[in-house]
Amino acid sequence: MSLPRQICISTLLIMHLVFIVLTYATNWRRSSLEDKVLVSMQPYLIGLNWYQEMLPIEWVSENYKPGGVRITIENANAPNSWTSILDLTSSHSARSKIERVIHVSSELASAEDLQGLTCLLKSVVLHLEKGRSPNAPIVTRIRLEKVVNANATDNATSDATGDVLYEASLARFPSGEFGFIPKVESHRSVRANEAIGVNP
Amino acid sequence: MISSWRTTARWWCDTWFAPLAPRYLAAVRIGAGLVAFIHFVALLISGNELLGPNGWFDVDAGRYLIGNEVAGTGSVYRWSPLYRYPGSVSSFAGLGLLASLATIAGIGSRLAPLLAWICLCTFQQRAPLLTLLYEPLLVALMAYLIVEPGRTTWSIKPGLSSGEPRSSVRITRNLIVCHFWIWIAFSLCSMLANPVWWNGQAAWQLMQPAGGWLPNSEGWQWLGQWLTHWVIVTQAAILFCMLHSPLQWLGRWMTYLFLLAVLLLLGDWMYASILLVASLAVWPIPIPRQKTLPS
Repeated sequence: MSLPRQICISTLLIMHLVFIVLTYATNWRRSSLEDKVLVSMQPYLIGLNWYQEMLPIEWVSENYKPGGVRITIENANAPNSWTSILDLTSSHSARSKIERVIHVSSELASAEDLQGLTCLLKSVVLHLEKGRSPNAPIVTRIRLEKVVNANATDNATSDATGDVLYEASLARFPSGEFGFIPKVESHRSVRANEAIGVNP
Repeated sequence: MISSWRTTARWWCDTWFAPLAPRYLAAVRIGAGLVAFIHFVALLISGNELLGPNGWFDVDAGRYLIGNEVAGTGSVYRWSPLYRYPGSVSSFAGLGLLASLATIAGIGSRLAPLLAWICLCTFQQRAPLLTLLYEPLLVALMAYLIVEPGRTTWSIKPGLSSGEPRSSVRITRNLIVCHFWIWIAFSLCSMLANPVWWNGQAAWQLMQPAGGWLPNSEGWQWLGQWLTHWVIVTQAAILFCMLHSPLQWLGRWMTYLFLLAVLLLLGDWMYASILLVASLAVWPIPIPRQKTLPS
């Protein structure tokens, strides 16, 4: 191999490996300089799929443990009975990806990104209701919760068995669309200056 | 000063450009092809349910979570055709399946890993946040195999090209080795940033879900603590042994012990498999030289 070719290939190799290190490092912690470099290299990193958002290297997340969070729904045909969406999965091979959906939901909830969370939950509800099965559920309420008692996850329960991260009722519109009405937490009260008709 | 530069340059050239026999990549190519094959079989079965029209993770959710049209997120570079054609999930899974089979068999030269890589990226770009542990490594291995698939050994058509040593084999092998080292290093770093990997609780937490392989009653906490330290020590040892060639035998055994921990704690066969495949580039298994077929 000729020397100029070796120099060109060496430069490309070093740049590639530096970008890989940078990508993996910035999944963890990130400086503004690193951020600028990453953004400028997005055509290469994202276009060729080297860039990984939320790279799943860590086995134990602060916000998520395998089986530690679940999404449950209340079906209109069985009021006050909550079913885990994992139990509604027809395909076993899809299970790990749906667990990942639950993981992402818990990350969105802990980041208080309600728009992202409702977008994801809407997709889940649409899938459940528009499934080909004639027994497709009609979702009335949806809940994202941290499971305290892992053994209680297998069965449908009437009450939350852990910390509720998000709960909402579904509001149906005449157009056929629906929206989420989040449940107001019982411990949260309206501050005096927010109440209607009260002057500060 | 000049002589030390020359020595460094010579070392660099020997490390990256000294010709290497393609048989060193055969096991990696076959292993990566097998993992990709299983991946595409799973996608053929459940891909439509996940990413198809009315799937668990529909196009709207996908677009929102890649930060569609938000400056700085790079969403414009997410080129997956599945955003525009969500109904073509099965077609891409089928194409990927054929490409991974061709990769295993060594048919189609660079085209087979290239096609498999395109199909893998198509799915990952559609739902980057749903990526599982093994997927980033699988895509990386497939991308490196495009450079050099090491196609002349253990393939259906071994006479397709010469089995002579070449520089591209060395470059591909070294890229896989470097990527594996970086992966393990960041796996270790991210674990050490979490207190549960110091106080012995990490493995215990992973042992908790009911129905796992390991006992999870209170009396077995000591096992969780042993396993936590085991995971950390084996990763550190792998990194150290990769930098010291006389310790190859130790590195290989540490890799097997680490993979055992992956299986026991995560129960993730695919992750253990792709780590094993990548480690075959670091510590190649002895492969017999292939006999030349009569022309």
